[in-house]
Amino acid sequence: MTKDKLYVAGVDVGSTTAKAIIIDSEKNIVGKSLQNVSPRVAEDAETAFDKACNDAGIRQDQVALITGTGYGRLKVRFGSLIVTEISCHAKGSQFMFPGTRLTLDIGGQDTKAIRLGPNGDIIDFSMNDKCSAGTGRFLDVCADALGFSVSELGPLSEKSVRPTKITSTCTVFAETEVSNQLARGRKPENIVNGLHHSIAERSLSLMRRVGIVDEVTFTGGVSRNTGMVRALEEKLGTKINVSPLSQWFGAIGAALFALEEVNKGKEHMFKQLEVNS
Amino acid sequence: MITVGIDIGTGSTKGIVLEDNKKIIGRSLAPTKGTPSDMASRILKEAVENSKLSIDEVDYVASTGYGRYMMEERKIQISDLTTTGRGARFLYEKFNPEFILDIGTQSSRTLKIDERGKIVQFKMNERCAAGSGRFIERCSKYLEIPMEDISETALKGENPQRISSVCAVLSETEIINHVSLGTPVDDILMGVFLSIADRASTLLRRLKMDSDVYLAGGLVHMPAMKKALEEVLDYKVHSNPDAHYAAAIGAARLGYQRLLKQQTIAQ
Repeated sequence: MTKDKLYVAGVDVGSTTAKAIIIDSEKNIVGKSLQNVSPRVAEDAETAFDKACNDAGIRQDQVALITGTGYGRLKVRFGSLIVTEISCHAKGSQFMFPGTRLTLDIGGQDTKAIRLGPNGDIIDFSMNDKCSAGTGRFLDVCADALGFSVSELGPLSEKSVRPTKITSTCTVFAETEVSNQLARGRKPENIVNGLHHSIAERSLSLMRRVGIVDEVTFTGGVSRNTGMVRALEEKLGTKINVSPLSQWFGAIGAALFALEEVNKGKEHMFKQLEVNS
Repeated sequence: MITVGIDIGTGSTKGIVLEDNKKIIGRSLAPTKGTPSDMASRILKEAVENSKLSIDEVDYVASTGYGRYMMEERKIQISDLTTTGRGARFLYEKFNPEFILDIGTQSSRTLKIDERGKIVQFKMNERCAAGSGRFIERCSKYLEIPMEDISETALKGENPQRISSVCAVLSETEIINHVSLGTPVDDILMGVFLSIADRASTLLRRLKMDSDVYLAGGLVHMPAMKKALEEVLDYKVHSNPDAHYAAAIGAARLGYQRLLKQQTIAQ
């Protein structure tokens, strides 16, 4: 009898993108996907899961358990476990960078600072989901005003020597300020660098609320922006952990929770067997 | 004596020509475009033309609003908080107003004034676009409804769709989701006005408002804004056709006082 390998999945439905991760029982990441979110969130969550299965080259019925997380986690109706994104990002960061004591997650519409204990337990967290300043959305709107796509911002800001000070906190007002600065002849790279510093400043005040400790791991969509990483490192005065998979850390955490649940179920089954025999 | 008040705001520039400190004889209003100094000159010229006077007959010019330092023709510049209080007192004189709500393009403020229109206390928000006219302007843009039709459309909303986001940018996503789920645009817009009214009511509560509120500023000439405020506040909401000019009127009146003082000293 050939036994099918065991797989679990984590689906992280954010405000802007849905991420899915498939891991095997050895905690190897075997498949991943990224999907933009539309108003039909439930469908996007399913698409993300389908894509991740395809990426892993497995059938959906080979996935033993699915955990939903993120802002749209309740829309992951095909999942059997729901875990908050705070727990998942903490879990994911701890798994990818075991030295993590502080996770900064900057997503499309919110920012979180999560303080972790040595065992990965959550000590404290602080979040901003009320105001778009200091989130990915701030960069989206301002990049648009400057005529760039967000993916261009990182490389562009690396050319900057002196950031242009952005005084507006509000995204809407910053958008106007950015256009005015451009009209005044400020270099786009300096303006973008200024935007990164503005977000870094907001992130820092969030991180101070939970206490800044080494090591800091940067997760979420905005962590893909190298200029943002640089601005944060400058402000913190220390290196931070980032990985090409940083955007999936929430989904990875979710998948790990699924695996734990499956293992718990197995233990339970073995115990049952022992009792019965 | 003829005094002129020019209010150079972030959204529009307003001009008022005042005769003997009590009669409004000329007005002008246009969206602020180009440099504040050119804009101020243009509105000064237009307001004076509107009053059927010539610029030589103007005795004193006072500027106010965010661009007030840039106006070259000014004899004095006065903070827009001060002028709004004075102007509102003049517009609502017979009601003896105490609480003023001024919703502008980039700020919203609430003032508590005394019987001379002097500010006793104020609360303002100018750091966040939610609760300001900019929020409506953005809605107008992405819902593709011209600004002049916004209020009328909103008034048709029968089941206002409350917007849960506080932030003007995050609300955008929420609104777009509503549109794609088939919520009527008029219901969405009324919800937007209600959310601005909610923010205004927070500011008013911080002033411990305990009587009627009197409107000033750009957004309040929209009937939908007044309706939303009436729904949210426990007190009556008063408006005036010249509410938009409150700060310009206040500037013209304070200009008059300054002129009188100068003349007394000269004598």
